[in-house]
Amino acid sequence: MVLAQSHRSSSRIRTILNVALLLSLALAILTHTTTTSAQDPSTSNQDGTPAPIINTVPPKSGNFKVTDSPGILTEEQYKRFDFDIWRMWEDGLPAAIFIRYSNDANQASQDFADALRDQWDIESSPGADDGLVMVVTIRERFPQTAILSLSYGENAFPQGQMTIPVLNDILEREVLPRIRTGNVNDGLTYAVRRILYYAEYTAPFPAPLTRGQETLHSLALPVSLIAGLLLLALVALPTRFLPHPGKNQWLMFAGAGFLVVFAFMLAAAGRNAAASGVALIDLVLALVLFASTTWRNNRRFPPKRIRITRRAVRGRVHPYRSRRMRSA
Amino acid sequence: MPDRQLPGTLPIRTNPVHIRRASNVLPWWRQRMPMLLLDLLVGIALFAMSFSINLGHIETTGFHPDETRWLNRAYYIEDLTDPYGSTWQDYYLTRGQPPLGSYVIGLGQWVQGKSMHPNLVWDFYYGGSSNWNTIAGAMPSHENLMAGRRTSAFVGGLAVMVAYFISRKLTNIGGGIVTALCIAFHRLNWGIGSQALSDQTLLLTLGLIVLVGFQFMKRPNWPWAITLGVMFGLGGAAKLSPLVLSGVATGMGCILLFRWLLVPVPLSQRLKDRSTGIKLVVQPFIAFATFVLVYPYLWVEPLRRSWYLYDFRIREMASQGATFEGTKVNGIVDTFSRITSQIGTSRQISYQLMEWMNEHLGTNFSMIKGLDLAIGSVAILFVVMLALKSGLRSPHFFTIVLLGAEAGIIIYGLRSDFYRYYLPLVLIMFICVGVMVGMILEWLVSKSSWAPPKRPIDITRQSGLFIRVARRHRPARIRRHARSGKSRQPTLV
Repeated sequence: MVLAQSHRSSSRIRTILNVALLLSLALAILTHTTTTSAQDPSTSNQDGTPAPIINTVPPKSGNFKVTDSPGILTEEQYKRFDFDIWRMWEDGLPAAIFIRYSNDANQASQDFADALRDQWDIESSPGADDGLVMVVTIRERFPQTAILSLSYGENAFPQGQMTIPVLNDILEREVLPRIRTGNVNDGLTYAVRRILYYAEYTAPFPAPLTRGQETLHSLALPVSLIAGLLLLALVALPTRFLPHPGKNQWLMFAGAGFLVVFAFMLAAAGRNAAASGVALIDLVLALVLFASTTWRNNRRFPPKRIRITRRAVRGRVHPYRSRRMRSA
Repeated sequence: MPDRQLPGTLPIRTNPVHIRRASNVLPWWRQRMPMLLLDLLVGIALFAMSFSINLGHIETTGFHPDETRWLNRAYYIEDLTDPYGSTWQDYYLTRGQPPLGSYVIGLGQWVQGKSMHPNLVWDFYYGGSSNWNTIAGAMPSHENLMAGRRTSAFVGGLAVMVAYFISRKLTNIGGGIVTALCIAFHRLNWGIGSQALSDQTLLLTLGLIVLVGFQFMKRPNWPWAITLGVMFGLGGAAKLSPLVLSGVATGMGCILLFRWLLVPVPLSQRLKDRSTGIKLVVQPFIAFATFVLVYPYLWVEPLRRSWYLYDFRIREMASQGATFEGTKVNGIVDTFSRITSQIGTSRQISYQLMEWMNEHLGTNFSMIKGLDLAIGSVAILFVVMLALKSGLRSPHFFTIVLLGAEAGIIIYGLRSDFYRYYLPLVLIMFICVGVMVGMILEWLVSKSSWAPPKRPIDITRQSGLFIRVARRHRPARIRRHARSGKSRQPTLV
């Protein structure tokens, strides 16, 4: 219109240029739209309607850990989730909840969750890749239904004994049925608290044995058995056959005790349960033998006879023999 | 036999006496059989009484979320077969509490045929009355809860029996019975005894430590020394504080080892001191070894993980004080005021007695605040007197030192005000009261006509020795007596 009101001489050229510009703009828009649809066919909804272009991740701001843009959570619920997510961060699992209105299908929602985790840097340190993002997508057309999309880094799981299969099982059994029926609060509560429970109150899996530990593991049982046999040989037999144990026996006890403790330490270092059990039995055996020997020594009756002899006589001739000799 | 004479001495006769074990003298256990039987009967009766009192309250005592924690860990005893499995890794639960209480609860579940996994872990972040814990499966079923409580009641009964034996050892049966009755009927005791907690296990191990300590000082040999160390370790495995008691034993051992530097001690005493002292000094090592052995979590890194346990307990007590309003204890004065309010008001045996009298006898007594504690304070004087009278190396002294040290540890280490933490103080207080009553009874009996006549000590009976005097040195009276065949038991002349 502006061009039409300009000078008559140059108006034709300008009109042509403007038309060309408008046509090129229209063509560009049309080309862009068809390219997007071609690149990602999943962006169209299941009912055939084209997906709106709202997959742009909003900038990270404010309390990014719980974002409820539709405002479906009450204040109390919001605080509860905020607290739970804080606990997750404390447990070493950086997490965020994002609730939004969208007509995105499953894959689009999943892409959004991935993009959100990536662009908001939900991880404990740069490159840790241990974050978890839960995106709840509520359909604009059907607000009573929702989609939960979880995006987690490679190092996010296992948490305690929560592995990916366990997580999927919990999602299938407890979370998704609630989310699908629009009960976002309950579904998210189950998801967040089950993950928290596993992260805090279940034991981590034992680390695999190192090469050195494997060697110790294989050595531990024979050493424990040998220690037990030596214990019996060193302690039990002299205890049985030596009526008056002396200093040597204490040395034997010390040696056997050391050996048993060494066997137990070896078993513990090699994480060998059977060897630890044998070493424990050895230890108890050693203690019982030690206690019984000292007990017997303590309760041993003093010498049966008190002989009073002259110092000069003692050691030279046995008093009994001397008496016999004299009487003879 | 000719007389022999050492140069410059009077002539002596050789070989005048023969000492051998008398075949007709009863062994010690048969000599003391009537007393042992009586003690055992009284002990069992007191156990049965306490157990029944605790059992009578398990249905009515209020639920405490801590019970779920102990029930949850019942599987510990099952997983002992896999000491390097995931149960014993380093995480919240293994750091949270030492394992003995869980073992006891697990054993109870197993004996009663209940589940070893009765519930999930109660999450205290969602409060004591939160619906979430019930939904999430952290609330045990009624059956499992009652099974756990029955276990606790049983252990509580045993603790009362041990308390009886402690006072009995320190004084007499009268003192023991008073101690046991006071503890069994005490509201705090049966309250905790009817909840599935580990505090009764702690009480039992504490009692056993004191009892074994008494026996050790009576016969300071290695078997008793090892038993004492093991008991310290087991006490530590119930709650950590008894481990510190082994340090007290070491202190006592050091005093015995080095007291001759300060005061003159005869050589024979010094040798005994040395023997006893060495056995006391090694107590922390035996205790720690036991503590580590009973807890597979510690096997891999004993020192570091023990520190984790200790550090966790300290931080948790502090956080309890910060989280639960009004429970934080500020200093020693505050501690004493908390003790007064917890076991000096409605949780008093004197108050319970008054209540009973008001109800059944129609009297009109009102509660006297702190009466139990006042009686306990007077009893402490008696106990101190008994310790001083008995001497440094006596069993009484050591027992009383252990009791005092445990009380000191609790009072000093109290960071948050929870009713359960006062149960050991109740035990110690009523042992003191029992000792006081026993001493008074002894004094009364000695002054009354019931006092048994004083007899000379029969050395042959006491020592189990048969001392035979050579025939030609026996007086004619004994020779005649022996010939007559009336006695198989010659008498020492």
